Formats: sequence, structure tokens, C-alpha cells
Amino acid sequence: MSISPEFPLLQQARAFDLQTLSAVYDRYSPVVYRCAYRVLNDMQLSEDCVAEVFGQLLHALGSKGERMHDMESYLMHGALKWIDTHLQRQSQHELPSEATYLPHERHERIEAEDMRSALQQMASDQRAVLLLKFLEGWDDQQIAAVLDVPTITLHERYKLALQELSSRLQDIRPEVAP
Amino acid sequence: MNPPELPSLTLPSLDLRTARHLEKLRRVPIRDHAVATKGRNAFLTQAQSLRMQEPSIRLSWYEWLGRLLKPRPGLLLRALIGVMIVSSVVIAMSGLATATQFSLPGSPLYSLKMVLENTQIALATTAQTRADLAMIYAYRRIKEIEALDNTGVAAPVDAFVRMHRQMAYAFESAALMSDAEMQQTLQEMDGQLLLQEEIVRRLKTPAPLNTSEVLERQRTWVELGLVEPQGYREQLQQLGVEQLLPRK
Repeated sequence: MSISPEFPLLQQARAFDLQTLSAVYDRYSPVVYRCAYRVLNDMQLSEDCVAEVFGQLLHALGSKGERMHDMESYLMHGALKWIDTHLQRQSQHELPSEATYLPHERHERIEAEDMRSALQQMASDQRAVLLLKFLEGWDDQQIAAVLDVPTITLHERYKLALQELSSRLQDIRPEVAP
Repeated sequence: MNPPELPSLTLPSLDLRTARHLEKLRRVPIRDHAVATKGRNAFLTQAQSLRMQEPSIRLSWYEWLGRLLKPRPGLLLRALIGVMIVSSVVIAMSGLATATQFSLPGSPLYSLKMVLENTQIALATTAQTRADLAMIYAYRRIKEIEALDNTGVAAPVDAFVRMHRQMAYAFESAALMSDAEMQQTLQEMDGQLLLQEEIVRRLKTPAPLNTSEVLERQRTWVELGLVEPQGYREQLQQLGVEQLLPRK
């Protein structure tokens, strides 16, 4: 296994060097936050996700740091898991009322909410693929590390995830022919 | 802070409607600065507390040793204070033990003396040690009786009973030894009994009436043990140590 370019950073983080950990937080917490917000559409919940995932990182650095090769993948894996757990706890995912939108943003908001609703209803690994590949722009190697799957299988997963998303969007709000 | 424009959005399998929807989600509102700062501070505080705990979990034995031997300011002073406290306690305890040794029946420290003696006998691991200790304590009793008598005070009956009990305990312990060891111990006990008889005879204050009789009986048991070791053991087991104590 090749040494990750993040290795020196990881070594310093394992030593609980506060300067390094500050840098890690500043670099990766926005990524975790964005990921959570895109699915949950809730600023406080997204901050909760960040706090939980970074708390887990600290414990992992102390106890099972030896097995961690990439903090970003570890954090994103934790975030996706946290989101899954949160969605499972929710009894139902309701579309927000259209009446809450201002007229000029109505159409845009509805599309965003449709997308979010579709994401929430999708299988966990398909949601992860969409978030990482199409919204965060991660490369295949990073995504394979987070999902713990071979890189070669990813292209098929992308296709399946997009098909599933398209189908769900159609179910939520069938496209009206122009 | 949003990622740059994504080339993936142009994948052939991505239809226009899905691409448009995905694009909508790419926009994330700016994070609340106050909340984000609070979260960051909480993270760093947690990191700091773990940093303080973590090394102790990871240290191996030689690292622990290194830490222990590492010179630290004030360590010498703390060590000195510790040594002084321990020394004071040891001195106080040994002083108390010495003081109890010279205490006589009726004095406040006498009960403590009895407790210490009983504890020492209880902690003895061999029959020989138990017999030796019992003889030492019996000797102390007769010397206490003599000391009280010298001051014109008659020793309480309990002092005599304790002396007889200690000797009975020595008899009992001797029965557990080999023949040779038992006979050696019994000869020492005979000398002890002779001394007790001598001191009792010299007492100016009256001793309990049965004292001489008990001492006589105990000497008979010594003779039995010296002549018939096995018979001594069997009879002692059959009749019990009560045979060696004053009759009620």
C-alpha cells in the first residue's frame, strides 16, 4: 500500500497536535457540513453531524489510528453513516409545503426539495455515490476508499445511482411535457 | 464554499432534468459563523482533553519507568516529605509496641499488648513458631505477675489464667511436631514451668489457690511427652487442652 500524501498530517494528528487538528477541522469540516446539508436541508442538524463525526475522528486517532490512512475518507464515511442513521430514525420524509416559498424562488426551491427528497429515499451507497461524485467532484480512488469497494465497480454504480435518481424524481413530481 | 464546476455533470447517462436538479443541490447556504466557531472550539477542547489522557494509555512499561525516573521540579521535596511521614508513622508504631511490652495488667495499654500477641500467634505459620511464641508470652505473664507483686499489688487471677493458657497452647503446638522436635520443645517448656513454680513460690501476695496444682499437672504432661510421644499426642487429642488449664 502506498503512503498517503496525508500521512505526515495524520501522524501529527495522532499526536493530538492542536495546530494540526485545527487545520484538519478547517479543511474538512466544510465538506462534511455540505454533505449533510444537501441531504438534510437543516443547518443545525448539519452542525450536529460535523460535531459527531469529528468527535469520532478524535477517538479513532487515539484508539484505532493505526488503521486510518486518510482522514478525509474516514470523515466522509462517518458523515454518510450519520446521515443514514438520522434518516432511518425519521418516521417520514415530507415535502415542505410550497406555500412557504416566495414566488420568485418557488420553482428553484421545488426542484431542490424534489432532489433532496429523492436523495433521502435512495439506498445509502447510491446516495453516497451521488454526493461524492456528482456534488463534491471526488475522484474514483477517494470514493472507493470511502465506500470500501474496488474502483473498477464504480462506473456501474454511478450509472445505477443516476438511473435511480431519475426514476425517483419522476415518481415525486412527474415532468410535465412542455 | 462550493466545489468547482463538475465535469461529471456532463456524463452521457445524465439526463437534463437530473442534471438540473443536481445543480440545485450544489448550492449550500453560508455556514453560520458563530455556530461553526463554537463547534470548532468544542472540537479543539475535546482534542486537548484527549491529548492529556492519551499518552498514559499508550505508554509501555519502559516509558512508564522513564517517566517515573525523569527529574521533575519539586519531586525531591515531595519524596522527602513522604519519607518523613512514613518514618514518623513507623517510629510512632514501634514506640507504641515497645510501650505496650512493658505495660502491666490493669494499665490502658495492656489490652493492646494482648491483641498484638494474639495477632502474632495467629500469623505464625509453623507449630514450632507458635510454640516458641506461646512460651515467650507465658514468660511475660509470670514476669508481669512478679512485677506487680514487687509493687505490693496482687496480680489478678486473669494474669495466671493467661499464663496457663499460653503454656497449654505450647503443649498443643508441640503435639503437631515430629518426635524429636516435640521432645526438644517439651524440655524447654519444663524449664519454663520450673521458673513459674519458683516465682509463684516467692510471691509475697497470694496467688490463686490452684496455681501450683495446674503447674504440677502441666509438668506431668511434659514427662508423658518425653517418655511416650505418641501416647502424649493421643491423650491430648482425646482429653483436650482443658486438662492443662485450671479446673472450674
